This record gives sequence, structure tokens and C-alpha cells, in this order.
Amino acid sequence: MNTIQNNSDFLFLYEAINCNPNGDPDQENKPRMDYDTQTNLVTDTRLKRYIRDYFMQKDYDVFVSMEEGTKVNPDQKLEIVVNRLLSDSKLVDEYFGGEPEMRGAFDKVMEKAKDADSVFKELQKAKNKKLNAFILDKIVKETYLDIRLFGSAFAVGGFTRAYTGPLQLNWGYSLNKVYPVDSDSIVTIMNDDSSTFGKDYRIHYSLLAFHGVANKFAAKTTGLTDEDMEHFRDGIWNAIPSLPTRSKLNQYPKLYLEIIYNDGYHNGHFGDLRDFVDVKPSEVAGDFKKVRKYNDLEVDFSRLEKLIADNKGKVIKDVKVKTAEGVSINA
Amino acid sequence: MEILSFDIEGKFAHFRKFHGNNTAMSYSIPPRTTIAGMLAAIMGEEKDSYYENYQTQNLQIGLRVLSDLKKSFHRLNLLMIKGNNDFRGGKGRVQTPFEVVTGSDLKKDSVRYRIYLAPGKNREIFDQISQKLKDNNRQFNLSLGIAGFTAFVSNVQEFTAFEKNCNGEWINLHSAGNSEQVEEIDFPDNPEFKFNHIEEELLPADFIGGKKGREVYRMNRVLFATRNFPIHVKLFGKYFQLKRNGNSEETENFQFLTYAGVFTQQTD
Repeated sequence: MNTIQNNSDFLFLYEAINCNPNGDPDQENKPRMDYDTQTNLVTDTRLKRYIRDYFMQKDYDVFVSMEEGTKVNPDQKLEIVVNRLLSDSKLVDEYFGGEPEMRGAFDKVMEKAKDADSVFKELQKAKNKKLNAFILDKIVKETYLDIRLFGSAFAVGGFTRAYTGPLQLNWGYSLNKVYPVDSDSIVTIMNDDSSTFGKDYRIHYSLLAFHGVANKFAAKTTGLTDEDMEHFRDGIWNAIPSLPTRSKLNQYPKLYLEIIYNDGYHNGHFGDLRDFVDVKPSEVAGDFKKVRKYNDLEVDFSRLEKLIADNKGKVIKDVKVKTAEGVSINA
Repeated sequence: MEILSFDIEGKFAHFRKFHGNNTAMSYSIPPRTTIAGMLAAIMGEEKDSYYENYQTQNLQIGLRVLSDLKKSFHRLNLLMIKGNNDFRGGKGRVQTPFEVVTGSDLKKDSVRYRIYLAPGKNREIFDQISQKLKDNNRQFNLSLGIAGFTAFVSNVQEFTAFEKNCNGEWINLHSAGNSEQVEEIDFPDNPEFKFNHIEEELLPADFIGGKKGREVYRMNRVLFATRNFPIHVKLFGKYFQLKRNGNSEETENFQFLTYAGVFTQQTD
């Protein structure tokens, strides 16, 4: 299948209302903050976890996943794929078509081994490094959506390789100044005789912004396709509200805007897209401290709109936009 | 001497200190090896394939800090990976302190550096990189240290720089300077110089590819200001000077990173 043919950069905004968008595990799980500037932070890994969990809900194959959610581990998965190869000569042709050298090496292993187990063991040997790297490539490209997107270090005996994801997300930060909810003590009742006070840190309102890139050259190494990108666009939009836990409630996507570049233009052509969004408190709110909802902010996309209007057709091939109700942008 | 200079910037940076395993501390500036990695990404080189060609003797690299740098620690809840199956969370998680470099205010500022390039022994490498940069024909996405911390390139310019000797005079050095060539540092009695922050750091200069992957080969020992302000120094050795046309006709004094010593047992 063809990998993506164009570089793209995207901007993703979502809101977090009266919740904890990303706890800092060594700081009593307080929301991640840069207190110098009252900026709320969310790591790329938090957002990718939402997306992976959402993919798993949809039964896509996800490599970085929790034990309970999966039926097989990577070792077994590799074996299954190898077994499939053994039993299906058509698949062998498909895998090794146009790769006579790899085909030869694979046939050699097959001749030597009697059953699936020994084929697998043979493949794990150092002398077959090139062949197993080739097979691993195929598996990644065929099986794991999350590796095709985000990359991964792959470490199964003999099959070791690091894949840099063609799709990269930077850390997200809030476009508004964010303030914590003052009262954060909660009572936890363990049983009839004992209850304890705990802390439940939340923020009032955070409009979080992520910048990310998809790179067509890196896409070749993991086999990222246009179809995968569609899954990603669906995932980033729907993942957060579809996984509501207590501390992650009340989070909703606001804007996904992807700039697809023409040939000859590269990731980051316009710099960080977050720099083109201006946010200030609305006249009614008056102060960031009083912001409790999206409408308490004045979010101005006009510089982003101008950037797109000025460059469409030249630098920009296409723009993909999703907005929530009440958010509008001309792109 | 021909020079190609360009600026890189991003919102977040993390340049992992190569010693230390469970604390992810960051250098304030990208080590020479990181810059070489970025150049290799511009060229579309495969992982671990370019170390030889991009070594100090083959390509000269200098670096200047262009923004105020702020470092802060955050904790990451990483998966504990000890074996094959731990990508599924079997060994639980481990809380790892992780240091990030940012500008003063994420909403307004970026981390910015200026890179100076000049040909070394391998003239071809310099020519290829400058061509790619001038044509705006980059391959992989650039980042400041880790893949997610996206970086942006701007201000690609060619210059002729003049080699200068210090001869015991005080100069304003804009780039990171090689420690062993710094004779004296001064903080002149004016508010800006007085509050200049200077760090000295030992940074990886070159990698070599080994059987087990890459190894740190040589080190740079450098002095630099953690804000866009020159350091006032007397130098033993030479430095370079270029005049930049623009809003302010600024004269920039800079040095290329020279290695301070060999780190591994291996020899040339």
C-alpha cells in the first residue's frame, strides 16, 4: 500500500473543564503546570494513550497496550505471523515479492527447520538479522496501527529495532492562564471503620493546544498510509471524550486543523501553529482567573485564517478542519 | 571562510545527558552530536549511518543561544521496560524526572539557537547540507532532542566570515566558546552583562558506530550564555567574525566547536 505522499502539520485544541488533564505523578498528581506563567501542560504520551485506548476500543491492533486488554503478546504475535507465512505460500509471495535476496534467505531457513517452532528459533539467530528485520518491517506495516503512527522501540528476542514515528506530537500547553480549584480535599471511605482525606487536584478551565507533524519520509519506514491518517484524525477527535474516567471527565475537542503541504514544502514551514492563535479573557470574564468555559475566552483565529488564505494553492495543498459547535474558522 | 548559518527553534527541548540512566536531565544547548543528527535528518540519512561523515574534522559546527532558556522538571509516568513483553505494562510503571528546556513563556516564546556551519575535511558534506537548506528541501522532520519536540528552521543565510586573532583584547563572543581557548571572562559593570548567566558544560562532540550501536567518542568543553547575550572574554585562539545585514547591522563573533578530548579507548 502507498504511504502518505505529503507532509502535514496540525493544530489540535481541546478544553478541560473542572478536571485534571494530566497529573504529575511525583507531585501528588497535581495537574502539570508551569507556575511561572500559569500555563497548564499535557505530555504527548497522555494524548497518545487516549488515542491508543480508543483504537483498542475499536479493535485495531495496538502494540503499546495493557496486559488485560490483549489476547496475545508480541512474541506470540510474531510467531502467529511466522506460522501464517509457513502455511500460506501466497502470503510468502506477497511478502517477498521483488525481494529475491530475502526470499532466498527465508527459503533456506524453511528448508532447515521442520516445524514452526524451529523456524521461529532459527529466525531469532544473529545470522538471520537482515531477514528478521525484513519480516519485522512487514509485521509493523501490516499489523500495528500505533507503531505506524507513533513509532516504537521493538524488542523481541532477535527482532530488535527502533522505529521513529512519522507522526509526532509535541507537548501541549494551555493558551489561557490556568488556575487550580481551591478546595481539593475529598473523603475516601475505605470501609465502615475507616475513612481518609485525600487530595483531588483540578483546574478550573484550560484550553489546551497541541502542535503535531506527519512526515512523508519517515512514513516509508513504518508504512503510514492515508487510511491510517484517517484513523488518526478520527482518533484524536473522538478519543478523549470516549474514555471518561473520574479525573478526565469534561474534556472536549474544539478544533482540529491540518495543513497538508504541497510537494517541496516541509514540516514546520510556518513554525508552530499555536503561535497563530490569540486568546484573551472575554469582556464579561475580564480576567483569566474568572474563566470557567469556552465563551469566557475570546479565541481569535484571524492570523491563522490569513496565513491559510495567503498560502493556499502555493504552499498549502489542502486543509482539513473539524470544529466543535460554537467554534468557527475560515479555512 | 564560507559560512552557512541558520536558526532552529521550538517550544520544548530536551537534550538528554548521556550519563545517568534513571534521571532524564537535559543540557541547555544541543550537543554537537545532536546538531549532527539534525543535519543528518535534513539529508534523510538512516539512523546510525552518518557518524563518520559528520565528525568534527569533517564538518565544522558552531552554536549560539538566541533566546532566554528556562529549565524545569516534570515527572513522566513511563512504562517499566526490562524485557520483551513489558510494552504491555506487565512490570508496571516508573516515575521518571524529566527536564525540559523552554523559553520564558510557552505562549509567547520559543527555544532558539543559531547554527554556524563551515566545511571541514569533507567538503562534499558541507556542500550537500547547505544545498538542501538553501533549496528548502529537507527530509525528516527536525526536533530539539526528542522526536516529539518539533523544531523549525528559519533564516538560512550564507556569509563570508573573517578569521580574527584576539591578541589580548576583550571581545564579545556571541557563540558558545571552547573553554580551553578562553583566557579570561569579565562581567563588565553594566546591567546587562552583570546579570548574564554563563554555564560551562562537557558535551558529546562525536559518535562512532560500534558493534553495540553508537558510542560517545569525543567531547566538547564549552562556555555559553543561557540567554541571547554575548559573553565578554579574552581568547587565546582565533575566532570568526561576520556582519549580518538586517534590522540591526550586527557583528557576530563566533567559534566552531573543537573537541577537548577523546572519551572512549578507541583511537582514530
